[in-house]
Amino acid sequence: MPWSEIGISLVKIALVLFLVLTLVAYLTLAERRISAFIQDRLGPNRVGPFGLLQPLADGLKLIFKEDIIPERANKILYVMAPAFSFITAIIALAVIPIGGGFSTSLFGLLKEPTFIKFQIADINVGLLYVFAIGSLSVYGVVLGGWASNSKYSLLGGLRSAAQMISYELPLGLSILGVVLIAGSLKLGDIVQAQAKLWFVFPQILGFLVFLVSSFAETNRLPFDLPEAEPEIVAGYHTEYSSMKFAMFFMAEYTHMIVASSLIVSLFLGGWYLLPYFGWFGIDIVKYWFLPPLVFIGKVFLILFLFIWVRWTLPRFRYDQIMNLGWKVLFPLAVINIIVTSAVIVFI
Amino acid sequence: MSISEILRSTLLIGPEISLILTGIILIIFDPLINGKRKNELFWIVLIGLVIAFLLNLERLHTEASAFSGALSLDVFSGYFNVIFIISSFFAVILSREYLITMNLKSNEYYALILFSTSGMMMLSSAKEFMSIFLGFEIMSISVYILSGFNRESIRSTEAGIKYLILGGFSSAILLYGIALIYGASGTIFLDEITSKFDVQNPLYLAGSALIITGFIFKIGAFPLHQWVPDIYEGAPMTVTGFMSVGVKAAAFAILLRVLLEGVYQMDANLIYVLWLISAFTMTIGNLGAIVQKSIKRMLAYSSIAHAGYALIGVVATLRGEEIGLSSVLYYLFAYTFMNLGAFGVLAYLSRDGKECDNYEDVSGLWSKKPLIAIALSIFLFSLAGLPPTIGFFAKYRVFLSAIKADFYWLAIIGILNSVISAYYYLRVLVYAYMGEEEVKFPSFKPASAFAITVLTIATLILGIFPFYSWDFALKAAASFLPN
Amino acid sequence: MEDILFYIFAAASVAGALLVVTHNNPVVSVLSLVLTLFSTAVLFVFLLADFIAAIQILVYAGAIMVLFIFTVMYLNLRKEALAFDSKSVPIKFGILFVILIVVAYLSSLGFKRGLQITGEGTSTSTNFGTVEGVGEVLFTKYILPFELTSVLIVVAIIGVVAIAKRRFN
Repeated sequence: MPWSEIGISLVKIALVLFLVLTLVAYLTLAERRISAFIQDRLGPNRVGPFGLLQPLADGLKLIFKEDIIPERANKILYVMAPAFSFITAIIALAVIPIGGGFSTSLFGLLKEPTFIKFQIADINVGLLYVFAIGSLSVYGVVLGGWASNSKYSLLGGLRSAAQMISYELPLGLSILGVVLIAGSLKLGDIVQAQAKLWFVFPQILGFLVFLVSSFAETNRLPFDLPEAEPEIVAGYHTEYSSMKFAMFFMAEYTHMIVASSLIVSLFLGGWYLLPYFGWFGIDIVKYWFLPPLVFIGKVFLILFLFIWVRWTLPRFRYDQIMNLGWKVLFPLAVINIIVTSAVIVFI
Repeated sequence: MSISEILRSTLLIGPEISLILTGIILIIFDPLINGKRKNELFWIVLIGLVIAFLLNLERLHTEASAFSGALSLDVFSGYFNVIFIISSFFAVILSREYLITMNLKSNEYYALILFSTSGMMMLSSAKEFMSIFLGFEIMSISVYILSGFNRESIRSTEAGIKYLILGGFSSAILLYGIALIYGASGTIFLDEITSKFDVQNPLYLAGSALIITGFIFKIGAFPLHQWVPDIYEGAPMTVTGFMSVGVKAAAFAILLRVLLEGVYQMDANLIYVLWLISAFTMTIGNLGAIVQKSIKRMLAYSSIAHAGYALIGVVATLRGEEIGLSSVLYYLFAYTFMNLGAFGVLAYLSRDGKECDNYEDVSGLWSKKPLIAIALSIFLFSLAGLPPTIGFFAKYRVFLSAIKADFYWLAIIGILNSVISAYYYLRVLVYAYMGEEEVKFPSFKPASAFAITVLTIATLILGIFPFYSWDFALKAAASFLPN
Repeated sequence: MEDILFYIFAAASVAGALLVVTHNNPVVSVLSLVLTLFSTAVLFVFLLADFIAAIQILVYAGAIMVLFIFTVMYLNLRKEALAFDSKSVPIKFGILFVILIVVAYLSSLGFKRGLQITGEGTSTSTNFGTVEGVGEVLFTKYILPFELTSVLIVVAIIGVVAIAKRRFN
């Protein structure tokens, strides 16, 4: 591997990290502002114009807070858990394509112009990679719950594990329809297959199942049993404070970003502007900066949906969650696969 | 491999598929049928087995290869399939009343027996390590579950868990051996491995040693025989009968296939290793059987000993003695009838959730149930190798093959062991005919009685007129031996 | 660079495996097993087997081990239940270690020999290890083992139901 490639990759990684961390910070603000508007309040608007510096203030506050480790906690795992949670959330972004890419010689640094993709790694098993990493994210939560040595945390951790395992199945099955149509697991190929038509139309069932399951996978309302306040205080992060608590928080928002980007790339046409005919003739090689903007715009819309749902719907009961996952979403996803493959084979 | 090739291959494995389908039908229909009629699915099991038997007849006179060489559907595999189907057929019939006696669920039980049989049938024809391993696991895992099927009984649960852990260990050893051979040769097809086999390469040697170890465990031969008594004693009676004949025969089938097709070029030392294993297995099995107080445990040790007798034939085969192979095949065939019969009688005598286990439990059988006593004595005579039963002929052939292959000592050890074994087999009969304790025996059980009758007649008739079945074994061996 | 990464992950894999058997906290043992499985998956990537690597993480590290950890947490094992004989274990461990080294030495000899003789083994098709490549052989040449796996899983499920189901009457 030539050094220029490694350098480019490192720059991309740094960019994505920066972008995501900023986005996470402002998502917290957005969440509070939007919830306030939904509840007919104003929300935080004192720090900076429109409260825009609020995340900064929050961050400072969290850093300077006392960092408590419970006396009988398992120290190593207790410290590891939030980091694990955050890392597994963020490395899933490595294969998400936010645009086509552009050719450049890096101001003459390289001998010939190279094509730089808006994607850190375009690997053959892209989608499987996302799911593999996503399946690891449950450890952070479970370990956090166990290592805290507190009953509320443990209950939260167990609930989370059960919920994530149950919803991983419909989540994984619902995308198979998309994979069948696109004929590839590379996310870039899947997006390109939507140039004519977004997959949300032929795969409406898969889309709905995926949407609901990803709400459950991110532990958001109405599926936030692992941290249900009235029952188990704050679930798996009850005992956490300071930056460790913040890490769990960031992990949750990063999960939301990953889920939204996946929804956009798999069902909502990725970086394509219109549901039909993609860019209707605009030369995206020339205007290479347009696709990323479109992609990010769509991600914002889905993130808004996440927040909107959280402040609108009440929480499920535990058995309702399990019933929904196993008896409704799972069969629907299976039906979706059967119908899709039948259509592909026979028509 | 094209679609039509896959279809052709699928049609060729009819017997296996019919068993698997029957098992699945059982599982699907079991919850749909309520109450007492659940037991009537028993007939579907029998129909499935009969269909498998009929489809398997095709294999007895043709030779085909399926799934790009993964399966070799020759007479050898057809012969073993007959053994498997017979053993599961009679195990199922004997279980019908036994399960009611012990208050066990029936349909999962039958389904597991069918799946296990299909795994055995895979083993008898597989020529590719991945299929071998999967067949091995399908067979074993079903049997692990069956051993622990009686959850109410601590012994049965213990047997299930012990078998699971030890069996898992042996599977891991087998898999490690397969991995080493694959690493050395780059292929998992036995044919290609044979052509690449290099005796000087330690990978091949270590790999084959580990693979053979895995099979030796399932056979229950020395030095991996310690699990046999505990598990055979704890498992439900009919399961013990089934696994002592079926699993053992399947392990022999695959051992023979791997030895003769895969590692045939192994140097002479392997023969002596197997020689030792065979001699020790017989002796330890017999010495262990003498001191037992429970008939079931005695039969478990005797089954170790019988594995040793059959291994004599394997040793003779490796020396190039053609009659050795057919004598192993015939021995396993004969053992199916007599051992299943002996366990069948014990299953028949179990009542009210209690197994017929100790010597005292058969005391006075002759005066109360003379026919059953006669059947029991025929099976035990046959196990001891006394004429005019099938057991005598089988042992005679095995010892003859050892003598022909110049293994006189092995034959002498075998004969001495047979003499010892007569002691503990006949001791059961002493209790049955002369015991004076008051034991209550169960009332008439039609299905088990039918199975025991058929098995008794087969043990006798095949012992008096062994030639047709012997020819059959000869044919199977001839189709298989490399020239 | 690949060499360095290989040694890092190989070492992590072995270290994880050692921790699994030596640590007396079952949760840590399970996590070490996750580490081992993850490192092995990375080693698969070096062998160009992307698909196997992804599946290894998805199935083993992500699904099966979660169930393990779930069970371990529910069991709430006590110290006494996990105490092991501190005298005999090091001896057994030592014996195993010696055997391991002998096996490793023999294997390395064998692999060197195998490569000299055949000289193939490195020939790979263009879609080797990818989803397409694995799918192609899995559904043609190795379709029998593939289908047998499903039978095996059915057997396991029936077994679990048969043993765990509530009493007959």
